[in-house]
Amino acid sequence: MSDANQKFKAWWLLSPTLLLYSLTFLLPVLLLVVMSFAKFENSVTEFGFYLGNYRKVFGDGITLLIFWRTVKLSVYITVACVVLGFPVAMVMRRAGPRGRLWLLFFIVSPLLTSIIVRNVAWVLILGRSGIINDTLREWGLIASPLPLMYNSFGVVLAVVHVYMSFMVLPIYGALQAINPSTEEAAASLGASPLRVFWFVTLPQSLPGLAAGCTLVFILSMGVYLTPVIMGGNFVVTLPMLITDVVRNQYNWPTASAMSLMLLVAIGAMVLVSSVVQKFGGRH
Amino acid sequence: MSDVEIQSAVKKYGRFTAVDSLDLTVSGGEFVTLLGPSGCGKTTTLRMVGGFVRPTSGRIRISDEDVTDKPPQKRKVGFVFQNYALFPHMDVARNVGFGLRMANRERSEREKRVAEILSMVRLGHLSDRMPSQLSGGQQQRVALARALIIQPSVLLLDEPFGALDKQLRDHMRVELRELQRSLGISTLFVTHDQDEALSMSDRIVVMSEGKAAQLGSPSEIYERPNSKFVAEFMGHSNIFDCLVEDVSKDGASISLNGVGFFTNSPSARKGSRMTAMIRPENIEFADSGEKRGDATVAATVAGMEYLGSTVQVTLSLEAGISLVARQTNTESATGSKLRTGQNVAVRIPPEAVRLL
Amino acid sequence: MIKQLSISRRRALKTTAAAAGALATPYFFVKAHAASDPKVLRLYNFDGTLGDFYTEHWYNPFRDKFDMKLEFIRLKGSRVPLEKVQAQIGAGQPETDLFPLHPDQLIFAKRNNLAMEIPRSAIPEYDNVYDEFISDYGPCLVLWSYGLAYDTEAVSPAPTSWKALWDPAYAGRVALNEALKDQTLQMVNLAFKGQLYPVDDETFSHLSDIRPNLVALWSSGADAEQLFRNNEIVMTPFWNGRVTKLKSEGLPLEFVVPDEGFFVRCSVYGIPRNARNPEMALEWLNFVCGHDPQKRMVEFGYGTPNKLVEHTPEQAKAVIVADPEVVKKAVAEDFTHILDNNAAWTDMWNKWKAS
Repeated sequence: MSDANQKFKAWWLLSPTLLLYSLTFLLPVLLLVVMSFAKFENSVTEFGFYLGNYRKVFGDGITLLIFWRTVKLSVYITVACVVLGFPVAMVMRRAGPRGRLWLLFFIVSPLLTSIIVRNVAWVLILGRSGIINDTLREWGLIASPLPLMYNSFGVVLAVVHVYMSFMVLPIYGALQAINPSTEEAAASLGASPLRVFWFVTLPQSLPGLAAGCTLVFILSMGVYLTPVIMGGNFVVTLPMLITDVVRNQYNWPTASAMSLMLLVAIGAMVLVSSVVQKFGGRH
Repeated sequence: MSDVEIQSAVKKYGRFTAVDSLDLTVSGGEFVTLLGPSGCGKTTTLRMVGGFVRPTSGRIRISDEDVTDKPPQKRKVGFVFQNYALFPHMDVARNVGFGLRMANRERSEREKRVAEILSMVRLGHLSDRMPSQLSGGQQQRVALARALIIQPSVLLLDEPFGALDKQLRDHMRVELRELQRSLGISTLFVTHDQDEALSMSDRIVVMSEGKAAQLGSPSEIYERPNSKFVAEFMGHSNIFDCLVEDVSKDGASISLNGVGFFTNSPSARKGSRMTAMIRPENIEFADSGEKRGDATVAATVAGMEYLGSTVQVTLSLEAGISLVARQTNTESATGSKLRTGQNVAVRIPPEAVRLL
Repeated sequence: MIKQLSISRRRALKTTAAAAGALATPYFFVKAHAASDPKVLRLYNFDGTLGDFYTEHWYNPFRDKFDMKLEFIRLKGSRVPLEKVQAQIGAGQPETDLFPLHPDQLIFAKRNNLAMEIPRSAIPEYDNVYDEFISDYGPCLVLWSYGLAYDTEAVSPAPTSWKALWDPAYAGRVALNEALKDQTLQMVNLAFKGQLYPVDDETFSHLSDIRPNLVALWSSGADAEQLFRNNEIVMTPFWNGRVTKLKSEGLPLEFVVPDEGFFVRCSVYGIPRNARNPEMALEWLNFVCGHDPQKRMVEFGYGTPNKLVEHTPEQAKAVIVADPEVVKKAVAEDFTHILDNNAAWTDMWNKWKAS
């Protein structure tokens, strides 16, 4: 009885958060659902129960394609963040307090600069007359400039740059929680450094890795401005499409259906990740 | 043929010298303990042997092979860590079988040997448990089995009982020592607990500030500490600075702040200042009123401490000397009938006084 | 315009919130806030040099003349977020008393009854404005031309046709306009079919042909400007106003009106329904239609609908639309057709990009 009472009290503490979330998240989502069944014809929105928006999203032959390309792009970004971020987290773990602070600063610094400044900087580095192309040309290594931006490569690079910290910090946290003696034990039992990593360090850092992947993947699914600038608009993501539908077609209903599609995909990813974190740690 | 040989090993961290030209040889299934307070360099020494710390200078040899420049995985040492360091994501069998897996042994062989060694440490029934589901003692045995399965040249134990409660600790002590003896594996053991060291070791190295302060058998270390530091660390309480007043062929007269004692300790030199140690269990209580010449000293009982099988009596002598005596707690023993504040006469036989 | 996009995402969220508010908030709550001060006028202003121009010549003189207080909402770029304003009007309170509407936005506004009708008699200055620049919802005020901009050092001879964009000599050095893809699609038709419509597979086959030349699709004037500045491109369809500005800064750029024809668009300045101060909004419309503000506009490099404003030869060249011979080349766009086909064109456009 008193246990149940305790639980009830704990729930009470959540009420401000719940209220905030119902106002800023649940209500808008509900609105989105209602809107997604409205009919948009001749520039006019009519509420009702109309499935045309979903028919369009799944049947127009392009929205789904863009959705899958967004997923693919997010997977690339996530994988790149893992490949580049894991070593950084490892170095951070080994580094002294000062080195760790510097690394942290470098990893987080993109978040402190505006997206415009960042992307202009990328143009100066990757552009046709950017630092890389100019240098390579001066050294006579290339005849014509390499296409380093206005394609998926540029988008992935620029997004990875920003979202790296969302990968590095959870992995670092998981690595910090690993008892270094387990790695030494593995070494003394005959494991080479690579095998120590594979059999001992990596499995123990899985919860952090899963959390990092979830964060980066979800953020990447919403990436919107960077493809416009770094991808020269050739790399189209679902959020870009949604914005276009709202801004240039004023079509809230179709945009709502698309948004729900994105929301469901992200929800599915969170679900998968929580399952991995639950069972991965126990492996 | 030695299993481990440490030759003038030095480890410096910046200006701090953790280990200072240490020499040690362990061979023939010996159980050698590195004993000392925290920061004395004992764990660093063990980790140098394990390959986790590179000596600044000096050599480490294992099975007569110079392994100074070799990483841990090429040393074939069995290392048991303070907190066991079991792989939390692997069950008991996989933890124990890890070394064989790294040696690319066949699965069937691995399973057979894991079963063997688990039954040896009496854990055969727990092979599919996760480490988090085991008690401290069980984890300890898994760690031991995991280290032994690779048939190491030497077993390295870093405070392996630190996390266990007293009863279990005493039990594991015996169990470990039996196992070690039956396997005949040379063992280097690190602890800060002198009881542990005394009860388990063939030899003890008492370490202080990176150096070996004394090396010897447990009885040598306990009974004949070679320095004030060792004596204090081994738990002796009656340690005094003294002046050697006279030396004869039977022994020497010494003076502690003017109070005279006689000792048969052989190392005395006339006129020198030395450290004297009086063993508490050798102090005798004379019957009150009885006087037996110079060997008897007047004292006041300052405190009594009941320790079960013994009683510890703190005595206050003249000239501000405080002396601890230990009496076996029997019906007839005089010491057990003393009261605080009582005036007594104590006799300190010459063999009770050692000069360091 | 880059920033505009970043804002617009937040704006999209805000709009959702606003719409949620519209459903959830009792009517009287909104009404209570609508109390209006006749001495305050709320306006959008653009960022960049055009915004500075407005402030100096269209806003401040009006403020001083009528002893008003002006409140601005700054836009990134030139497009009012009509999708949001629609929700605000529905909720009973648009954020401004005036809004500039692009031609397609005007039709959308008309269909959703977002703008007040303004009778000719309400604005005396209409007497001096060409008829074709007077709509039922307000005057057409900002005239801009859309032709071909090129780098005079890299492109020779000077292009005379839209087809120059397809010239293999400029492989990897050309960009097209994503922001107004309707204009891009019409441009392709104009170049190859000699007519604006229909936008069909043939249109997109020509777009596929230009692909080797394309570096990027820009989504704002600032983007395109950067592409020129960073030496990424040598040619793109562009607006005359920005070319004039870049030329004055020393960039080797030139604007040409291609032989096939070019585009002239202007924004109607209207008054949103439920605006708080429509009286002063009308007063402002009358003020900016007048001679002085329009003369300043011409000096700044944009065309004017005011009959009384005279052009110097340099001004005439810069504003493009002052020369009747040039004006003849302006094509007649069907904005209803554009608005109604935007969705279908966007799908085709995205498929082309994805291919």
